[in-house]
Amino acid sequence: MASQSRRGGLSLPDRRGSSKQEPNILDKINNSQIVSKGKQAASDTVFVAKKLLKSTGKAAWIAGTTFLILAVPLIIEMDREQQLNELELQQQSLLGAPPVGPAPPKFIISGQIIWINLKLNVGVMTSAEGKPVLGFWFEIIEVALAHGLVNLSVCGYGIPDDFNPPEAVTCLSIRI
Amino acid sequence: MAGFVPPGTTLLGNEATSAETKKVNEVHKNVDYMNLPCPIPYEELHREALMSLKPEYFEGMRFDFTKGLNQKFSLSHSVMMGPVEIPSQSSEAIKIPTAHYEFGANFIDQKTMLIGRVLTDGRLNARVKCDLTDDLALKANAQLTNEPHMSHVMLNFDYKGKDYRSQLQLGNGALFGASYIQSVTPHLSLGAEVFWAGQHRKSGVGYAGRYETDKMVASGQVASTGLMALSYVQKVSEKVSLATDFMYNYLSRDVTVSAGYDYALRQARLRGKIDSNGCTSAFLEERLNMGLNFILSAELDHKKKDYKFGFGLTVG
Repeated sequence: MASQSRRGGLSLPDRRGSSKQEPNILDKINNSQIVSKGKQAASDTVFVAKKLLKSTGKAAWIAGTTFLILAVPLIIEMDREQQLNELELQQQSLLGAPPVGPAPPKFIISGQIIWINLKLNVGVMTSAEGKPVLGFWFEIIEVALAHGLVNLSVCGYGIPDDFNPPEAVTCLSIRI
Repeated sequence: MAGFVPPGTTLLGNEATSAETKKVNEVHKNVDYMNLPCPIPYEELHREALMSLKPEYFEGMRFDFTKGLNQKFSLSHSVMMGPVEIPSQSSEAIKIPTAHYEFGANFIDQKTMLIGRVLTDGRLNARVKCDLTDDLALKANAQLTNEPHMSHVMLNFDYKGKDYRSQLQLGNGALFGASYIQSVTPHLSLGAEVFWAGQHRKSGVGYAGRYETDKMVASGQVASTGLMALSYVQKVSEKVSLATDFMYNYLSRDVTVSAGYDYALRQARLRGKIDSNGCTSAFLEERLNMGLNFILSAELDHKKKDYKFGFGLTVG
């Protein structure tokens, strides 16, 4: 390297010298410059994209939870109010017809049981996924807070085709 | 107040024109400055905004039971279980789970009202409200605790004139306060207050104004302690009202803006609010049955990442 610079003179000789003498190196340098710039650009892009994704995720989380707290109860309540209005309108339009009974509860009524009991029921209940399941079940009531309003019972269910022992499932039945 | 037609009725034909002519007459008639209505008390200036924007959020479980023994006398039992926040210097909130039971007795008469509450951690709250004469009322508020120097008593004397109200306040620790509010027009009332706290050697002056019509209430308050609060409540319909609030502390340069809604439906009352501190909250009271209310409270603080949820039941 020292012999090269002395040969080149005072002005910046190295490049010319190197370009005259070793074009391959210049090509390589150019290539590597472009390549390095490309790599830099790629890493910048990845960095910016990651940040964008993170901030979008944060914004989506904040927007989602805020919507859940502010708007969802409102929608539910307004829907109930509308249903109540429709019901009243129906009653008014019928004018004297006996009033429609309350809507059937969504959960299975389990009845008022005040002592430890074993009871066999056949019917329809909602499974853990929320789908109606036809089957038989027996209830082992261990804790029953019976006030006529809320009953808590532990019950197991099984489908009659299965001969497997029924799975124990905790179901909350509310009688309104 | 000035509304002639009760909301919810539809106006048809003759009724509509007569109501309109009545309103037009009112505007053209000279305002009778001798017969202004009595303003609302000074401390209830921001009443509508407070009711809509600041319900009692809580965390944990709450159960209230009120039983009336008489027409005038009732007892109340209340159970509260949940984490309670301890103010700390660091940005994190320290929460300690506590549970307590509160027993209370209320006596409500035409002229007097006595309310007392006792908690299991030894605190005693007592409130007395008594109409001594037609115009003069006495209010007293006492809070006694086990810890020394934490008990305080406050005594208020309210005098209600034809279109003004004045109040004198005495508290323990040499706390003196006086306030005066006057109706200036049928819709506008202005007031001022002074207070002096002997213990902290502070004194202050404050001014307030309130403009209210059928559909909206706007109120503002400035105090020399640095507090400036403006609020605006618009009654969009008989069930819905929207409220916003602006609080500025010009000494510590602290600004807070909040906006919220208040839906008072037949079966439920829902209040929601969003804040400029990154805090959104909602409060739902649903009527399950006669005398049975189910309460849900939610408070999300996105800045501090502090989330509080509570549920409860109110009977009676």
